[in-house]
Amino acid sequence: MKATPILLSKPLKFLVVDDSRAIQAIIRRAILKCGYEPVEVKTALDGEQALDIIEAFVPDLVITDWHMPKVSGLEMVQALRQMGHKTIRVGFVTTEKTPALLDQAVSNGAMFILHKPFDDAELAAAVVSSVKDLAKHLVPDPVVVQKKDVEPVKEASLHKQLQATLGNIPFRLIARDPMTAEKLPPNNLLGLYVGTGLKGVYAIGVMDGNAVCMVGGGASRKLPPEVRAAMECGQPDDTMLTKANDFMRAVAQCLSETADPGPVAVSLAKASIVKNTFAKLAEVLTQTGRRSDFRISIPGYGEGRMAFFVMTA
Amino acid sequence: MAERESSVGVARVERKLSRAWAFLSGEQRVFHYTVGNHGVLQFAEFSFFMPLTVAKDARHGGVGVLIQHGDAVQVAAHMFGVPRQAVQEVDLRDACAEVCNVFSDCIATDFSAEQTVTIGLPRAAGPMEYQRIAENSVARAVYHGSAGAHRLLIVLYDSLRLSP
Repeated sequence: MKATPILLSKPLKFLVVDDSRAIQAIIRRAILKCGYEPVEVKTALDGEQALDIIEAFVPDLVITDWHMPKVSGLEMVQALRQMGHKTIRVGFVTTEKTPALLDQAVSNGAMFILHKPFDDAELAAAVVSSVKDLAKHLVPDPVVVQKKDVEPVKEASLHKQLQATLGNIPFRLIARDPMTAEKLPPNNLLGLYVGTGLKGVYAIGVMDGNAVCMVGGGASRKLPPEVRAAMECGQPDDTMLTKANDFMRAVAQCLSETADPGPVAVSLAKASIVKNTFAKLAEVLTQTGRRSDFRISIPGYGEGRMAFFVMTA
Repeated sequence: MAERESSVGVARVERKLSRAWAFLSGEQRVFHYTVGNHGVLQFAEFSFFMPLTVAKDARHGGVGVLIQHGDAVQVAAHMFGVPRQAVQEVDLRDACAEVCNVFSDCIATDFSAEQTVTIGLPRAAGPMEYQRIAENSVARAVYHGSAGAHRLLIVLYDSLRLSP
């Protein structure tokens, strides 16, 4: 089961080096299971290819096999250090057990050496242990750049975006109806917004599961029974989710209008479905200011909620 | 076939192979030491060879892993995390090479418990090459794991008289 997401303001970067694409796939899954979001994972089939990639993509952690064609894992790490990449963290996933060789890996800074066969959980634990301090630093830094006493998303502005999304489907938008954790269905869409030139996450948007089905379903011209069925089971289909993502992205324009000092171009960095039990979500919902809450009602579909929060100090 | 391995050593290898198979395929399977030469030359669709060398003694050998199509599909589907129908031919070979790699590690200590064994890189072995290896070496140990019609063989070759 995937861990509760640990939202980061910039991606954690991983490089997986193994001559087996099958093992690459296993390692990639283990990385994703750690729950960090967003992450970037690149792969290389041998040490030589890895060194080429590192010239342009400096990973936070390299997870490498030992025995590979051309340049072995150990040779690659040694080259990495000689190239001046002293801080790139490295872990080995290997069948190699020769003590003298493993010592060399450790002396070159290997943070873990995991032997095949391994459990996914073992690898995930090793990854977390290797990058957890980096992840802490990446937790969104609060920024205050929003105009005082102005709601992050104006009702008229959101109304306009909904009209653009829903076309001629009639809807009613009710502002300032607070979203609370108790009102959330099990699955909800959470978006992270960033501002050009601003550090950290600028704002967080939340569409509850009903709003995702309604806005996504309306945008894809789904019939009311189909949307209601998705709302009842709490599972928007892929089309609804894609359209809801598009809407979330469009709301960035509304957030840009109220940013201060303006103009600040706000954009959606990441959107993902999170459970209503997600701790960060509950924390955001308790925020008292710099938030805009809306209830949306669409005849035949039902009601849903969305809210947008500018991160406050 | 060389003298039978010690029962303790055999049981240890059987356990390691079972654990490795669970990692590779997601399935539980029991592996057994096979007495006799049955199946040693039984080339399978996915036959791989891992060279082993003990430098000090200039001794060469290797591990042959013979995988039938159904097992290859299972391993690839599990490792790539895709349905069996979605597995590509290239994925089968990639996954089977890794089976050979991990199985070789399970059995390599039997090649020489005292000296450092250098393990090479796994490679697919065609019928001719596989036969040549088998004919120019001693099949020191054979392990098999069966599930229904699928039979998986792991052969430890010693005293290989060819360049590995």
